[in-house]
Amino acid sequence: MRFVFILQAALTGLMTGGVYALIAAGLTLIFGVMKIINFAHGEFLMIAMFITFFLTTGLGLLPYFAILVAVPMLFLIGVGIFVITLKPAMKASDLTKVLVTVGVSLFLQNICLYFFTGNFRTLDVSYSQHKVTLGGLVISFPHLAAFGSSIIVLSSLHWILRYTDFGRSLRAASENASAAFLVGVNVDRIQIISFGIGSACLGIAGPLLAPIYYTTPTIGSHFVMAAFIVVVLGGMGSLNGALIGGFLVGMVESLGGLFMPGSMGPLASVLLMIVTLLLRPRGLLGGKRC
Amino acid sequence: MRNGSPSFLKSIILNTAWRRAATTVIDIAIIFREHYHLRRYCVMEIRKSCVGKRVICVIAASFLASTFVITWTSPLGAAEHVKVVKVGAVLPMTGPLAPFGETSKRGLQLAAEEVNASGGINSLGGAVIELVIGDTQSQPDKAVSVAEQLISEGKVHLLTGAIQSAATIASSQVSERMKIPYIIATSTADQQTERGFKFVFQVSGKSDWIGRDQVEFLDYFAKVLGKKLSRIGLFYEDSEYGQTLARAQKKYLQQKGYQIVADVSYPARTPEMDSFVLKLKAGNPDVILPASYPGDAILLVKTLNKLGYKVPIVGSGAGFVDTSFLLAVGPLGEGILTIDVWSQAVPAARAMMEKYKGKYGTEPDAQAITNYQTMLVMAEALQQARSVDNEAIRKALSDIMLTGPKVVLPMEKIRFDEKGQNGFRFTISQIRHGTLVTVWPEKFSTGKITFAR
Repeated sequence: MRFVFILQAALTGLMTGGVYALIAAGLTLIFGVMKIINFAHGEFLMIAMFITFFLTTGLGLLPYFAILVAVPMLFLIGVGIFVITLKPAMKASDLTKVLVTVGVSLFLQNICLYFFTGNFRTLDVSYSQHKVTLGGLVISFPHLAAFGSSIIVLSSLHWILRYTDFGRSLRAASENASAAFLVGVNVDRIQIISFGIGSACLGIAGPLLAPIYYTTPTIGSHFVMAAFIVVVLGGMGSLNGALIGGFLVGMVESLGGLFMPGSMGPLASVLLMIVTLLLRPRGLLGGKRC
Repeated sequence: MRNGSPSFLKSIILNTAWRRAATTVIDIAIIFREHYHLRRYCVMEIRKSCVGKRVICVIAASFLASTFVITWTSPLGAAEHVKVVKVGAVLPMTGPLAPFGETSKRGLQLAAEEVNASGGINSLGGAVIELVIGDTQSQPDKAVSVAEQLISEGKVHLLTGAIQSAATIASSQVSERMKIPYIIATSTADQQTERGFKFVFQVSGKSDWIGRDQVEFLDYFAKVLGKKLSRIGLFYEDSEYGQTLARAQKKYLQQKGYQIVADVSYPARTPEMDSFVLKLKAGNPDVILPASYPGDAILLVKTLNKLGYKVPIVGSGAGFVDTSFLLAVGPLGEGILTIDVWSQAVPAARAMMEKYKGKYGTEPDAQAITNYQTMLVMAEALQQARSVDNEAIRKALSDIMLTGPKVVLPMEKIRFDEKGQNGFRFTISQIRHGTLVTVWPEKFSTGKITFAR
């Protein structure tokens, strides 16, 4: 195996890892605040990609402009779905909440299948084929954009959580909802908004992914499995964990694909998760504050 | 943490002593509340379990009743003088495969209307064909109940279906049990005609033969290119479809002395394909024979382009002939060769195409044309059988011999062997300006191979 191939696989893995981290960030945020594992996360991503697709083909704009529309829309969709389906189930057991999200996921997927059919749509934008070459290594421009944006988004999310009033209330609600409520944090509002923000993250991920992959109603499941591994690996509810986990999973998956026989590449990231959980049962950065 | 806290109350949460005190108070409250709720919960559970048993009884009873209905109404001994012959189609009309279900239905419909317009089935006194569709919702496990329903309630005389191999395998089993002839139109799993069934016939080819014809084409391709193609790269998705096909490809490649330099399988739903393509590149093959669904085929073409890796592609049909694939890859797909099932060089196919376009406004796809052919086979079998008795139709099907304008697919005749398998031959098409042009075999070609990728 030539060395340049290994470097290329690692580099691609790093880029994909950035995207995983962005998707996982929303998931981990929602989990951190409400202890809800959101199985409909992938479908929110799919909706964001469809919004991008229709805006781009309809208006002829660059897909990245779709972020301006997709973020508020995903925020509203997230809030809407939370208020309608999850809010009434908040007092129920964790299993009930998980089942509600599974139901939402099935509903969204099938309604999109009904309206948009199972066809594969790709965005044919001029720069989706642009690439940067670094001495034999290739990075495509959309990958680079996705990677860069996810770093920016994750750091600003981190900043918000750490230094703003809202962030502090959110962390308080995440640590102990009852105590936060006692001292005057509006926990209900925090929960609604954090679900909205978790979904809005996908409003950024969708437009970044649309030029790289294809858009189809079942695309969410391709990414959300990796995002789950990232969240568990990095530590449930930890934003930094999502970032580190994302890079790790992306790289391990890509190098695993290169070195492991057959199609056992994706197994590598699952193995990494198992080993990590054996050594650190709460994930890499689990147990620490986000 | 401490700097800039807006209110005393919120900063208090972070004070551990306070927090402990607060949580203790809350915990006590919770314990009290839970004790109350636990008692109520127990009462509720007991009530629920009584209701549950009643519901289960009702479900079990209705289930039993439905099985009785199905077994006691098997459609033996249908009337000899019929006005309408019913053909059932087990198809995915909703769900992810709905587009394929729709074109299949159109193909069947078009052929049935033609037969009916030309006086119906003559030997049955001009009986007309009526198409009854059963929807599998793209779920193979629904195919059994759909087939049962078509047979017992729809009283169909013949069945066809079901696009997904798993659905075909399951629904044809029902057909064999209830002795209703089943003609498989498009799915290609090898085991479909290897089960020793008497009532199952297959118009489409077997996936084993995709490998056979692909490898045979390589000889021709080498001649056209004027260079040796001995190093082969296999690239296949890792489910049943890709694995079966790869086994066939390996068998025929080894028979002909080709060297397999890369053997790469990948999960069809992988979000990233670079590492798998690099593995392929490491083997440095002269040509690759990928077996992919539309989504991963799109990703493969994009990844090859991104990595600047140029290699001739001879695809295995499936994703590579899919309309959404052709649209999605656009100019990147130019020159890709792939296994295909039909050719516009066949006059009957051209005629069918015109009629199809006139009626539905779109070009027919492989599903439409193979289903059209299937309906013609059914009509001919009914004509020969002179009866709608299932045994007579089965006999007619096993002796059938379609030639001339009744053959729309690129082959001389349609005839089933003792296993019920049609002697199918696949063609090779090339993507040119976003459409598929048949290039091999030369007898059915509508153009020459223009350039190698």
